[in-house]
Amino acid sequence: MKEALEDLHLRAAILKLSTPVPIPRRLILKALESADVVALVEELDPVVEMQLKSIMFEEDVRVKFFGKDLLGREGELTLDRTRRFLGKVFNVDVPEVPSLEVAVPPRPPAMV
Amino acid sequence: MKTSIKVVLGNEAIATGALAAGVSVAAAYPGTPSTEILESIAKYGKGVYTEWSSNEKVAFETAYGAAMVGARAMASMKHVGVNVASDSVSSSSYTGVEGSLVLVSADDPSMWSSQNEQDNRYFGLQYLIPVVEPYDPQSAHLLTLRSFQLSDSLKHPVMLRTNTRVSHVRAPVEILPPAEPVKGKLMKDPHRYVLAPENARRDERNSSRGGRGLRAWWRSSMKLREREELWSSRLALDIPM
Repeated sequence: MKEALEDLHLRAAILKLSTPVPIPRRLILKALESADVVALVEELDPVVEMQLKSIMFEEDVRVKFFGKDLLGREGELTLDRTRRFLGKVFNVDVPEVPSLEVAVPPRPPAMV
Repeated sequence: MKTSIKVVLGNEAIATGALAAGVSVAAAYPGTPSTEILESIAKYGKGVYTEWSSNEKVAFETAYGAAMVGARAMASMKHVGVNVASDSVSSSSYTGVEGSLVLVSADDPSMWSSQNEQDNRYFGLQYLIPVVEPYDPQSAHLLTLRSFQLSDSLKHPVMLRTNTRVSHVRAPVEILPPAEPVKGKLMKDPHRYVLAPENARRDERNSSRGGRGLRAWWRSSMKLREREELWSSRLALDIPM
């Protein structure tokens, strides 16, 4: 996230959670106080997102929210995916980065 | 405290974190990306009982049983392994433990070596078990120790959820020295641990002893706003980025 923000020359406060279940309510409400936009970056399913939206509803916090709708659920969360996500959230162009993916020859199962 | 900096796998960082927490029983069923956790405990641990169990449920129950009688115990497995163990994981959230119990779930996003992708943080919501999530080997080391401390203070199982990248990347980690393994002592408490309906109902609402009421407390809508407070106050969120 930090790297993606730096790449795109964007500034945002980052709240990093090591406790996805349950999420720390007071800490999050404090962070929401100064937020115009919330962009939640989490891998796989919207586990934090569901809890966060529930807290926002209960506390009557109305802030523009982006999460799984733009980020997607499947696969590892890569730098490239995070950059493209932030590009959509902040409406900025995301320069193409040459892929480092190398096509490794497949290794067939070795059955003896 | 004397620490040493070594370049280690995330899984080795978890293993040494468990040793620093005083783990005395560690059981696992192998599977990418979790395997090196038990391998490393077996390699570096002194006076620690380690076993490759016949499946993930047996591994979890081995650790759970030890934690019931006061030991610090850990079970590790890959994400789909928790499906196999889930029956007992559910029970552990009713009875709580006397020692501490950490379940390590090593998820595999993108299925580098798995049949399916799944997000095991759902198990935390499903069974009311707190989930702790590291993001690199150093945090994995510290958060493993914190998970044991949290489980000990809540008397409740805690899930440490890692993924393939965190488990398999190598990075410099400031490693804490191992602590004396905390063992259990056989004691019987069938009214708590035998989950016949009468006992299970009592376990569910019991809030009189230590952290055993975690489940009831978490469920209670009256305390909705306080529930995360206790959680965040018990687990310091001051890990540097």
